Amino acid sequence: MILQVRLSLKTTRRNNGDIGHRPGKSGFTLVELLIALFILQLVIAPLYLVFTSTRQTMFKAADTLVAAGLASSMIAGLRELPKQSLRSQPLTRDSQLVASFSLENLGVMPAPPEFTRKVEIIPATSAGNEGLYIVEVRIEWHNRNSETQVNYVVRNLLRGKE
Amino acid sequence: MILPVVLLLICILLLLAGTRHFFSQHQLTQASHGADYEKAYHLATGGLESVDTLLMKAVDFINDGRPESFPRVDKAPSELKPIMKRLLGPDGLLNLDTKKIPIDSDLFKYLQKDFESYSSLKVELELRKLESLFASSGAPGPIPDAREAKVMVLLHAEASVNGAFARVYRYREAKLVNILPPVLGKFVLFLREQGSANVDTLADSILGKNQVNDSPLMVYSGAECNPASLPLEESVSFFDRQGWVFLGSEAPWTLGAGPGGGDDEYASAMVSNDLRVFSIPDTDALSTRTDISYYSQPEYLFKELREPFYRQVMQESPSDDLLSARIRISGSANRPTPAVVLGKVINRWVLLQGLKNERTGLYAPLPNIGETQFLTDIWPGMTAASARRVRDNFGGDFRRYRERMTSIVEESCNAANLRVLAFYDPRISWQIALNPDNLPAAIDLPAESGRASVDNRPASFFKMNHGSLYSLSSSDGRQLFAGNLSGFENIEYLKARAGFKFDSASDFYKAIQTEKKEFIVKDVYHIKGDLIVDQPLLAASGCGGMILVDGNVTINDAIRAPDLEPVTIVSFGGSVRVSTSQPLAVALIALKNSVFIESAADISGMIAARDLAMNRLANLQKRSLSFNQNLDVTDAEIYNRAFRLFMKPQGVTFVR
Repeated sequence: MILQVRLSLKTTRRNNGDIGHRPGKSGFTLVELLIALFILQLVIAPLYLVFTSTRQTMFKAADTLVAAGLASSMIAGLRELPKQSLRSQPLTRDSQLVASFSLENLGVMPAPPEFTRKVEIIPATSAGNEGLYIVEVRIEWHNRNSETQVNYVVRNLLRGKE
Repeated sequence: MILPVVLLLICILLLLAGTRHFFSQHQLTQASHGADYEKAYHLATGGLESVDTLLMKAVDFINDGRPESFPRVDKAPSELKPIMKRLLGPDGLLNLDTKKIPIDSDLFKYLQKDFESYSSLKVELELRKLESLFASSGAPGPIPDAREAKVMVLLHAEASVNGAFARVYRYREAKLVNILPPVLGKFVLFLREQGSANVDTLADSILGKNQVNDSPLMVYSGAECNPASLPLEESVSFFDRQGWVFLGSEAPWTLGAGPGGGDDEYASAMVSNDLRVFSIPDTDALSTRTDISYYSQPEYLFKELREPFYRQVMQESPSDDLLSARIRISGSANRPTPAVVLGKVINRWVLLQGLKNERTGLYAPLPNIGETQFLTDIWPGMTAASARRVRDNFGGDFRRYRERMTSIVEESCNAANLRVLAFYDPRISWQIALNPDNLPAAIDLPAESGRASVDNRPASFFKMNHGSLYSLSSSDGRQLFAGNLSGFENIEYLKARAGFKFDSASDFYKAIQTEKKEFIVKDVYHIKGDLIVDQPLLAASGCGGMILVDGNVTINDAIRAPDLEPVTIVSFGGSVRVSTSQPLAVALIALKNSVFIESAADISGMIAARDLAMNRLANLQKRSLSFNQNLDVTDAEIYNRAFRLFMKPQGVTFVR
């Protein structure tokens, strides 16, 4: 038996006649509905994956930008330091830096908890570059789903303000 | 019916998903690009800093004028050699028409570590002449050097990481200047006018040796020279290397070349104090006496000249003739430094002459008297019998007596150079008073100067060089000056050299103070007010500089230049007062006013002024002026060593 589901949808009859629905019998059958649902689920499942992947991509992009900003702000703060304040600094988390390199002293915002910012400063020893310091800022974080660690490393040179 | 709806829904979902995927991918790409750009930016700024540091070191090296840093490319530290090769022309001077010069640094590899495979870094240096500092007016006077110019110094840094490019530039406006005082740097002493200082009125004491009533300014013109030390063929280069003297005005300068109280440090180098003894010719009556000779000696036995109870052999002469000069040109008897004098300058000194008794060692100077007195028996310091006997010796001929009597010698100031150098020709060294025009033709005198001419004649090392048209040239032929040196008073055009301008001296001192609390002069500074040097100034690292002051300058503290770096202080409209005995390694210039030395000053450099004034010093304190050869603008090598590229350490950095 074919169950005919009649929806309360009404078709519009126009002056020039029926447009394809039988008068008083507009709607669709359960078979049609099931077929439609089947087709839909065939599409929606991959679409869900696409949306999830897209979301991760967006997080990744946002995290990358945040990392780049964290590194740049740290270097910008260090570049403002007077010459006499510059000295060697082994690779250290920004929250554990010595007082002269402290975030408060540099006027740099702390990194969000998901990010770890590390700083290393070493004097340039090559001839002609005496007085310069090489700074390396390393930003570490984890991908939000895969938990794989990501690094973003930036290097620059510091001369110190006269 | 439902299928089309579903299909439509699917299409919409797919479209949404696709759109979102596209934009998220794009966002990721953009984020990655942004992150790469940040890396590239830091790479570029790091490269820029590294090369900028090299550039500043190169500029410091270029600004080191010490001879040991030449030739520059050879003497440059290894890390600077590549830059030097590109920056300097074949003449060793800065090349201002450089294309972009790529410069590498050891730090580039480190900056690119971990991503060198997908990154690049290139830093280039560009120098470009913007305009000359001085326009040549063609008017008489100093002839500016067109090489002094405003210069653009531009560093380009370009870095890429994963295709993200960052370009960073650093711009500076620099000045290529020569820090020597134009024209004046050739002179150890340059005075436009005589002024009222009575420079020739230093009275020698008659109380004893080593006593004068004042301290003369001993002017040492450069290299020392002792008699017969200079081969003739070297004399031209010797004189051209010395610091010369210019004494302007139409009225002659008469410099007493007296013995300076018999003190070798004060005694003028102009005259030899050696006693000369001559046998009496047969024509003279006293030739029968084998124990008597004629003698000649520059005024050394000064007691004989004026002491009331001694022989007053010069009693007829004006007292000024017996004075030594307060300015002792060409050094002293124990440190003669012959110099070329431009101007109408005459030496005036007493030549003691008389009879010497070889048996007793006693001297009998023949007094300076006129013909009328010669014919009487009343001669100063002699009995009538002695006067008669001396007159008889010369057969009563006053002209013959005049050649042997004590007299005043007057000669061109430069003539003394012959005697000081004693060009190993006995016919020169035999003569006490020299007239270069009357020397025997066989005596070779050194050629004239190739660097100066007076009224279109080459300046002589031995004759008077006085005229109205002076011309100075460099050893490489470049003309430095044409006109009347006496009228040379306006050098305000030098303000164009200034890299820093200050309203007050305190601002100046703040600006030049270093971390070590030293006050280093290493640029050209312009101070609008007065300058009081009450903190020691220091030149360092072979650089030196100039301090241009609109007002007065008072020097109360030391000015040191360990390597004789050229340091010049110019007062455009005011005077310069020296009130310290600390060493002063400086050129002092006040062409519109006076230089006043009120202390026992020890100046290594030069003095140029409208006139010079000195006060009297107690206790025979020494007062000296020594020429700093590094100021010699007529020596092309020294002049070229004095070019400096001055620029502020902070540049304007911008990102494209």
